[in-house]
Amino acid sequence: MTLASLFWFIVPPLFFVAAAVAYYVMTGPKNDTRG
Amino acid sequence: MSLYMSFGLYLLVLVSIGVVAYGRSHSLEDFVLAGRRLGAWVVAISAKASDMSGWLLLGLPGQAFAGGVSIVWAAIGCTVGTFFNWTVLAGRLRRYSELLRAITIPDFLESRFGGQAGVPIRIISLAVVVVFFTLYIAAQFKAAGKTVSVTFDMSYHQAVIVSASVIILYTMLGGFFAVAWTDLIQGLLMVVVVVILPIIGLISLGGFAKTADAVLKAGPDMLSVSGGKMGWELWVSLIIGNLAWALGYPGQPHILVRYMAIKKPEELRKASLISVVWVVLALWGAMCVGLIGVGILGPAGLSDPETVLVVLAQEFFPGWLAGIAISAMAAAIMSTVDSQILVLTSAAVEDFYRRLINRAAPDSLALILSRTITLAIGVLAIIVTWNSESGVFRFVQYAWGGLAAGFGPVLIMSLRWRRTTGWGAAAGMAVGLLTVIIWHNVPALAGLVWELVPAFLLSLLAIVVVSWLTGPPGDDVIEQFERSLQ
Repeated sequence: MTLASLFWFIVPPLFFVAAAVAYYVMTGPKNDTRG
Repeated sequence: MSLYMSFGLYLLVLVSIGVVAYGRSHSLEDFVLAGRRLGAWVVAISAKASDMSGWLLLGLPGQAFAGGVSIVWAAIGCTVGTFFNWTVLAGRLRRYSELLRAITIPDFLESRFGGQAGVPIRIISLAVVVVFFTLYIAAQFKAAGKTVSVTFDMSYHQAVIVSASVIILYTMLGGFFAVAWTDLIQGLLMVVVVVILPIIGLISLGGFAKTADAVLKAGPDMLSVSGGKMGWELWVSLIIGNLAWALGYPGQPHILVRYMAIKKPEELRKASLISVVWVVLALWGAMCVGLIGVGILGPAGLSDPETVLVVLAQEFFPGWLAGIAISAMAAAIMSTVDSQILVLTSAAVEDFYRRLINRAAPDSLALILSRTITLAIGVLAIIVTWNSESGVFRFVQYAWGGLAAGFGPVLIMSLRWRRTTGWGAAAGMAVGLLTVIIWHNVPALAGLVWELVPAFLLSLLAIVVVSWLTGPPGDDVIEQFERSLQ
């Protein structure tokens, strides 16, 4: 119960780091349409 | 004794960086923007260290100590704001400002729109910068004075003089180079301390489950992100009130100029990753410091919850290392205030003196003037801070809201909406500024919701409505907008 309630405390940082990595990969040279 | 030596060494490193950076500042662009020659790591960490003030190591752990994990909404707000700035604004601002040869935010806004609205835009920008950065800098000096005096057994006034002198000295000598490099060291110091301290605490408490049990002894809602609140209290006061910090990010010139200072715009994607990882480690680490603190010391273990980091550092670290941990607290404050002093200096020299009084002023004169004004701002802030030790975070919240509403909506729209007109921009800034001041000073409104939220929305609305009413921008402005996208 106690550790389960920490779920919403732990998920946001993991989400943000995953989003930052995804942004980094998606905007990489191969995906840059401006050339 | 080793505590004092660690802190002394830290101050010495800062001043040394100032001396080295002195040799690199040859023009006003060097002094206020490091000549756009910084790398991804320096820009990324400097942007975050300038953003996170004393709140990171004093306020946030203190709030987690007193109220548990429900303060996570403020951390989420700050991370969303960080993410938004890097992905939506940073690249455009870097390219567009270089295209317009703008070295400050007011400079960028005036050049972006030009025409008759340029002068009102510059004057409103200057008003926002002067009013809210003066408040912000004075609040940071107060925080530095409080922290250093409590830790090192000095009087408040001695502590203000020591910390302010070091900040003024390295900023005056090395300008943006010194501020950015010291930010890098200070940012790394801050994050290392808030990551290591909770890990040691967790081990000493016997692991996750035992730590959670110890924290729950302080209150049944300590591990609940709703904090046991419901209805208006939960959704408006706790969640929206704290997430609103995100709205402030697009309007903070001391953070935004970092994006303009990177050497290559392509480096911004790497910087954004470094920055988001840093902010996640720093914010969640700082909250864990507070939670571990309440687990170890108990809810009545501290008279002032904001001292939790100092107390834990002294408990777990040997003297010299505790000195370094405490230096990190000073670092959080110093890395913010140095950047803000520099924005105020650039506003006085570039936006006021060079643009409105003496357009032909040579770089050598502008550089001497910048150093003199940096010194003057520092001395003025010490005088403002001298007779008052209270009100640190209240000032910060007001200043954050004022800058957010004055600059945020207009910067977003000027970078992302080609149809924005000069008069739309000027109207948006004026509406944002006035709403913040009026809302903050009318008790019936101030109690309803933080002034930042209505001011931001009204400013956005004013930009759109007035832009539509004042006709499309000229072809030259549209052409420049298109070039900034390339």
